[in-house]
Amino acid sequence: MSKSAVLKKKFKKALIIFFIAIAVSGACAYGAYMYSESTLSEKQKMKSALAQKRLKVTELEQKFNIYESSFNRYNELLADFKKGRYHLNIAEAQKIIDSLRQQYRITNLELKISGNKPYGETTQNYQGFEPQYREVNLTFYGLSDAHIYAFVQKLSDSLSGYVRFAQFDISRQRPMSDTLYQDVRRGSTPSIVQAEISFLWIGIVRKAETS
Amino acid sequence: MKQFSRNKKEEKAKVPSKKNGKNVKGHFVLFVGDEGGILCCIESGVVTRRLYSPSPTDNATDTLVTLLSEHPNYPVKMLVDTLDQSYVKHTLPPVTPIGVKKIVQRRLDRDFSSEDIKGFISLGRDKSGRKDWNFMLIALAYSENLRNWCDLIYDLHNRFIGIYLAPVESQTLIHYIKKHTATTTGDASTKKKARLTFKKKKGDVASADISEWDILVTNNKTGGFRQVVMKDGKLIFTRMSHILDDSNISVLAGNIEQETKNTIEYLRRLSYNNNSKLNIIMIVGEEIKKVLNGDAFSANHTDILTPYEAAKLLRLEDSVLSGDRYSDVLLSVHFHSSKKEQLRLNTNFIRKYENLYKYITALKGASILGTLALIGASGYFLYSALTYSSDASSLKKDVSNVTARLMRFEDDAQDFEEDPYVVDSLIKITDIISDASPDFFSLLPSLAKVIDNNLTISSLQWSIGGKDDTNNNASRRNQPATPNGATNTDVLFEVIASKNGNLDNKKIWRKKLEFLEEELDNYTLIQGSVPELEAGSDEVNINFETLKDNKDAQPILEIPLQIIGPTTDDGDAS
Repeated sequence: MSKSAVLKKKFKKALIIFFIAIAVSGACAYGAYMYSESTLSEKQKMKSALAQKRLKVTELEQKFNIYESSFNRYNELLADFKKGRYHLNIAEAQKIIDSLRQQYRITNLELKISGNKPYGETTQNYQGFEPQYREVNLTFYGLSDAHIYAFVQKLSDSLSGYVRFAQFDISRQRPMSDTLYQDVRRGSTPSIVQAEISFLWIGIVRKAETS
Repeated sequence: MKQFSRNKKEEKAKVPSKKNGKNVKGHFVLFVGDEGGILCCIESGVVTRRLYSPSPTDNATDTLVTLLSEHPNYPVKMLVDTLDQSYVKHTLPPVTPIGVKKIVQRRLDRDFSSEDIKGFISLGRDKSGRKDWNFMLIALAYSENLRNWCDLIYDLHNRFIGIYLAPVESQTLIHYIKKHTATTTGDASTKKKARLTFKKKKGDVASADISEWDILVTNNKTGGFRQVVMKDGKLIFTRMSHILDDSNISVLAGNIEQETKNTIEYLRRLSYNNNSKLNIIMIVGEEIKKVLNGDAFSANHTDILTPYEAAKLLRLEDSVLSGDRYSDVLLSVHFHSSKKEQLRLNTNFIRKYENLYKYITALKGASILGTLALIGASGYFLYSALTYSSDASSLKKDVSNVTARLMRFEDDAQDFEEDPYVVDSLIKITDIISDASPDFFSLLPSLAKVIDNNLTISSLQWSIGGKDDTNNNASRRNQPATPNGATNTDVLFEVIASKNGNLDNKKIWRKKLEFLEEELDNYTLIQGSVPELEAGSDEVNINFETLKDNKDAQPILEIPLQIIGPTTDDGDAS
């Protein structure tokens, strides 16, 4: 075989390798491109479906004249309201305080609860419901400041509606001593720490109820 | 055929085994002269075979052809050292580098025969005056002898890279030998100068020159005595002398001396004078070396070396035998090991086939690059596909959620007859009354951390500040009111000293206060006045009456602390 033939053969070989390499890698790239396109199409499809569903939700919102999110929240709130979650029920509160008083060894407890007052801006016109609050003042004694903190925390969690503290005063009336420790151990409830607490007890009432 | 080779054992060690032979990258250098040609097979930088043939038409070339055929993948370079070479120095006007090449090409076509193989090397520009270009125009006669050698290679499968001229390629040999002789055998000042010169412009043949004039004399089997003269590191002149009778060493040495002197005399016409520096390097056989008188040339420095000694200087001793009398192999292997070729000449045939090789190389490169690019593109598309797929599955979940919501909404809202304003009111009211406001219990965890046996809280008064506060405790206690919405906490701490009697409650307090300051970083802490804590004070106030029930009564330090806050990011109390 002549040099020319050998070179031509080499050239042909290089050309074939070139085409095979380009074809194979091109096919891979094309396959990857097509796969990418199909997933993109799937994504677009989902996007479009989501937009359609959202549009449908918007249409329904317009139809019923209410936002879907507001509708759901209203239903939840209304369910809570019906369960008494926002009622400022004095009898219920008294029951809770009495139970907690015994649990946290609270003594000399005096409770003052004001009547219902409208909460917030008076000019605000609410329809159907109205926020109201009662002022609550508690004076009592505890074995330690820790007992008082725990009692108040539990009270705050147990009461319906919301509790917004305005004042929280505690002062130790007597220093702790071995004698006091022994008394406490025996079951007596000496008045060691005095507490005076004020808070707003905030709830919601139906306007029909107030009227 | 005359084959001069190292002994069998040595050769066996140098020739790569057939097993590994495929992986060895090899080259052939065919050194061609008027008196024959020597083929050197160079594998891994070492000459493994060398074959001599007195003529391209001689039967001895069969062995050369066989060797070349055994390694069809080894490319061939032809190093020519024939008599029919023309070197003409030309000075050309100061035009652009592109323009000057066209002028040179025209000169070559005009001054030399179309049959000749032509080329040129740049000698740089003048440093003064018009800064003219200097070129050495070179022509190699395409003689019958050379044509036959070329035909020999054309017919084989080996790649014929090009034709090179031994005198031109020897320039680097002169440079390297000078450098090594100066650094190994020269005096201290010469060594230093050589090192400095070499460092100054590494690889630059011209600038590494120590002397102004250099003469290289080599004794070649295929030609005769070749003299190459360089001025300021640039090739300026070369000539070859055929010595017919080489049987008498003394006559031979005398001839060399005479020829060299003749050359020096000729150089006087080319501006060489007694003030010029002259270096002479002679590479001759051992017998001639013994007879040659280096002092006969009145040169500044004369090195007379055997091919093996020169090879040792060039670190090519594996390729040259200690008994070698001729420089052909040395020149071949040095040419092969040189990083830069000085001048490549091509015949039309070589040019044609070299173009094909270039196309093949380009195709291979394009294959690799194209494949890599397409693989990269595939990777990109796959990555995109994975991202899209992940997005699609996330969207699918969203769609199913929205669908469920939609169905629920659709079902429940059918019977919903509430006034939207009522709905809106209840949501608004709940948002207002559940709005988080400063809470006493947020302070408690921090306070609880500092309370222990040494520090207790005696009293604590917390109140919410602001104009809407229903019980403004701040004014009640005649203390500064806190800003709207913030809280004010007055804590009276009791610091109890340790039982060992040391009144270290100040230390205890400082530590606790530092901790509180860190813990309540969004509150302002104001410590009330306590005389015992004043700097330098050793005042101690102890009321033992208040502690009369306590048998282990210890001194107590009462410290009031006001905690105001929390503050917003702007530094204002919320």
